[in-house]
Amino acid sequence: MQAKSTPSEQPALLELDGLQVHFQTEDGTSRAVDGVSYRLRAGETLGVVGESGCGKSVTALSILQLVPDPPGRIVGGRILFEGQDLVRFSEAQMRKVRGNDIAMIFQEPMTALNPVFTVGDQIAETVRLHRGVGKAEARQRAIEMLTKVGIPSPEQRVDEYPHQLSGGMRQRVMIAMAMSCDPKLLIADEPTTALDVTIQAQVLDLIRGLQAESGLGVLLITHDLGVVAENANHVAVMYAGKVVEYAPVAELFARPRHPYTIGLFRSLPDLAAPGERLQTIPGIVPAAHAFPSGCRFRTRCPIAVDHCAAVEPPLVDSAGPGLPEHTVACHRLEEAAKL
Amino acid sequence: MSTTPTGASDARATAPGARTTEPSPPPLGVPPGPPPGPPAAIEYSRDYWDGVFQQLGRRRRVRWALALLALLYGLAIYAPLIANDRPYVLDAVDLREFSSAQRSLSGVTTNYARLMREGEAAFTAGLRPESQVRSFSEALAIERAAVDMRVTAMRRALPDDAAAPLDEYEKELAAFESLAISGSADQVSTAERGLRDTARELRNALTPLDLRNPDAGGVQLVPSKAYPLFESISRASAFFMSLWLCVLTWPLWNRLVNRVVLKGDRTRIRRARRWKFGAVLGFAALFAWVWGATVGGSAAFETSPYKAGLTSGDIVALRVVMPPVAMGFAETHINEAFRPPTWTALSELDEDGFYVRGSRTPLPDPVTGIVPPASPVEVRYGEPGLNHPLRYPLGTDKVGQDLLSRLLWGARISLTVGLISTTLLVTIGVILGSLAGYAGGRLDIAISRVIEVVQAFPAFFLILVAVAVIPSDVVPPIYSIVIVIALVGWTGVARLVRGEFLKLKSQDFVVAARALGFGTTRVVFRHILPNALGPVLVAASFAVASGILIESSISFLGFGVKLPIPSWGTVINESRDPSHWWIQVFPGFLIFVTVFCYNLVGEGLRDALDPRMKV
Repeated sequence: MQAKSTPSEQPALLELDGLQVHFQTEDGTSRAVDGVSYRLRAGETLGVVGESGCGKSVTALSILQLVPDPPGRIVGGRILFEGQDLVRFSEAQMRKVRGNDIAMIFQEPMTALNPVFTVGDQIAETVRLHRGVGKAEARQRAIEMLTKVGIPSPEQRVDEYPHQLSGGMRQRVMIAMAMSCDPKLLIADEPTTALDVTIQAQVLDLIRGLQAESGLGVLLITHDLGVVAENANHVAVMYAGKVVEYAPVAELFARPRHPYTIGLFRSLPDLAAPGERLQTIPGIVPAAHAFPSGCRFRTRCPIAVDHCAAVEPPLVDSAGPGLPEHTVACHRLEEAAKL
Repeated sequence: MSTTPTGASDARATAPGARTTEPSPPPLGVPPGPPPGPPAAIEYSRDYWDGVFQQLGRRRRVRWALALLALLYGLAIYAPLIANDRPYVLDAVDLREFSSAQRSLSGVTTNYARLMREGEAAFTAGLRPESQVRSFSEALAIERAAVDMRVTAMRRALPDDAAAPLDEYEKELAAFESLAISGSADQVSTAERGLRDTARELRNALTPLDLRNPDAGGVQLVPSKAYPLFESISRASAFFMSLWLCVLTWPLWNRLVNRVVLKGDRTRIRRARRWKFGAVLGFAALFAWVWGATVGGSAAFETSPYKAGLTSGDIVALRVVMPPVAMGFAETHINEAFRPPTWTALSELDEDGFYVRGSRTPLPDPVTGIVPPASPVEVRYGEPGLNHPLRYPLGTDKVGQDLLSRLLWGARISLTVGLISTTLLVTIGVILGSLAGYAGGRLDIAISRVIEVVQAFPAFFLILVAVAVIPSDVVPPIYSIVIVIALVGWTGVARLVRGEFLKLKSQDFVVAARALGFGTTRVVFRHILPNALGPVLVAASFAVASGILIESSISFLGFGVKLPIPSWGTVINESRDPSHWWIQVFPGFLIFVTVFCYNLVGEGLRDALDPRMKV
């Protein structure tokens, strides 16, 4: 997939600008998301990768203003959706946005569907809420959506309960539900993690197909670099509540710049070189209430120096003139290039 | 469950392939397009509750418990039809009514005539400050109605050819009334005297033929048909009776409706389920309404001495149909106090009314001072004979009331108390529990502390105090018991619901529901609550049992119901003397069976609701 260099004048569908989400815990303030910025254009896919607990999902939830409050709270930054700041939206305004303009699908299709309603009811409920249509029409729409996401014999399946469907089917239903009101942005929070590999490919194909059809923007949150490579136009690498690297997908895969990104690529099993020991990034992601000073990755970074502890590296565009944007937050790019 | 699939589809539904934990069936891994092979989706889709009921049905003990409970509730609901001192059908002449009308006619005529003659001025002058009727026209109407009532009562029983004296009387009455308005004082008093004489003569002319003394002669009266038992059944009773009939016969008519009306179409059957519930309720309500408008609806618990009248010959019957247990719940046989169950040897009486066996023959009861029967016991009309084994199958209490009848009627109170208190406490518990669980924060802390405080009260003593303190003429004790049980019992449900909400609110489907733009109310009541209700249902079935138990305990201590209908606890309270074993054993057994059944059902529900316990 080629990263197209779109003219920068085209307004972004979604733009995060220095988003900060903090949680008040007994151990103190936990800065789960601390100044995250990225951009997503209509019709494109932005992959957000990172280890568990790096703030990917919290970012996604805060776009929909669904971070549980208390303890969570958006303390700074802007979330621009089609130029409007969602942070300033009232709850009533947000409710119109959710499901209608921005929809979300979840990692675990086993738990993301309500076990006591038929899948048809769940899809129809969304349609009725946002479109104000009648029962029969909503049911028709549910069947239509089930057909669209490739569920065989949708007229029967529409009356079935989630427990009667397999994992892949449930994820398809989830997608049908999310897409039922033609949203402009789909947030997919690890949509394939719980599925086995063949189903994964089908679900991703399905999302791509829907995207091609309707010009949907997709925010694809995952920790699977393979999924990102296949599906995303741009990638944002997150570490400990911050974006450490942001680039078009081809650029990032060709020239990873940040030591963390490089570490991630190193830890991928390589089918071409079997029998070798996998490399790992030493240590674990620091707890969100006790991030290290300066660069948050320095405690695990092989090339960290004292300066990294003193000054937090800013996210700057390191690409040369004329090249697509490639921003990295690291003081020691030259050393990293030798890694 | 109503929608039990039959035949092949049943086999399919229970086949291992159709279970929740299925591995992915073939068509699932196929990309968009027509499904290959035979479509598995033709199978009838069962919902969550179908599964739960199927699980319940698999447990034999639960089935027994449910059947027993259905039986108990049936007995409670139909108690008025089973045990009653009123006959179903009474085709009879009520000599009492006729004679009293005939005897009092001259009296009421005198009163009426005097009032008419003296006129309004005298009435107003003679008005005493305490009299309730203050207007002349009202007083006149009352007296006139008294006359009419007697005339109607007599006409009903008189054959057409014997009614001439009545016609005469009414003619004279009409004449007097017109004279009283326009005639002179002399004319009026003459007419009044005449009318009084006619009324007095009527009494002799219309003496009814007394069958006990046929030689004295008199008018042969015409019998009329009445349905005293059905007339005494209130609208509410009729509602529950028809409702329960529909519920018990559900499998029968449901199958018929499915086959004939819905033509066996699974989709239509599933969609019609809610309709059926509505139809049953609607039918019962309609039946009750029609019942109240036509047959029944008079005072439900008024007892009329029909049996006494029949026994003494005041009511002369052509045909009487008594219910199977011909004893009223409040009908006393004072000479048969504390009579043991009549199928036991100790209960046998000789002709003089003494116990044939047993030591209690002539000694007075130490507690009540009542001497066991020493005079011939009266066997009333329609009752089993003196030593018939079914006369008192469960014995009698201290005033000779039939225990069987009292227990049947008592089931109405005991079972209702359990159900209503549980409904109340579940409502309170669900509302507060879901508030605490969903809102969290300070509200959660506040509600949780309230729960702890309420749980710290010794509930039983609180109820005792409340029942003792609340004046029984303001709130009848039965209501205060129900309310207090609910007010101290909701905490368990609230904690359960709170816990479920805490667990569920962070689950993906709740977040997903919010991500789809659903409001808080919809998320709480439509998405979380139905998922949290399983444990509540289990708690509720235990709560019904404990409600029945608490009510019985309080009634046993003597603080309980003071309605005409006894509750099971009140019946036990009648005697604590171990020699009156039947008074403790039978109601105690009923309480035990009910509580035990509810516990079995609760346990079965708990297992059936738990997916890990699936067989």
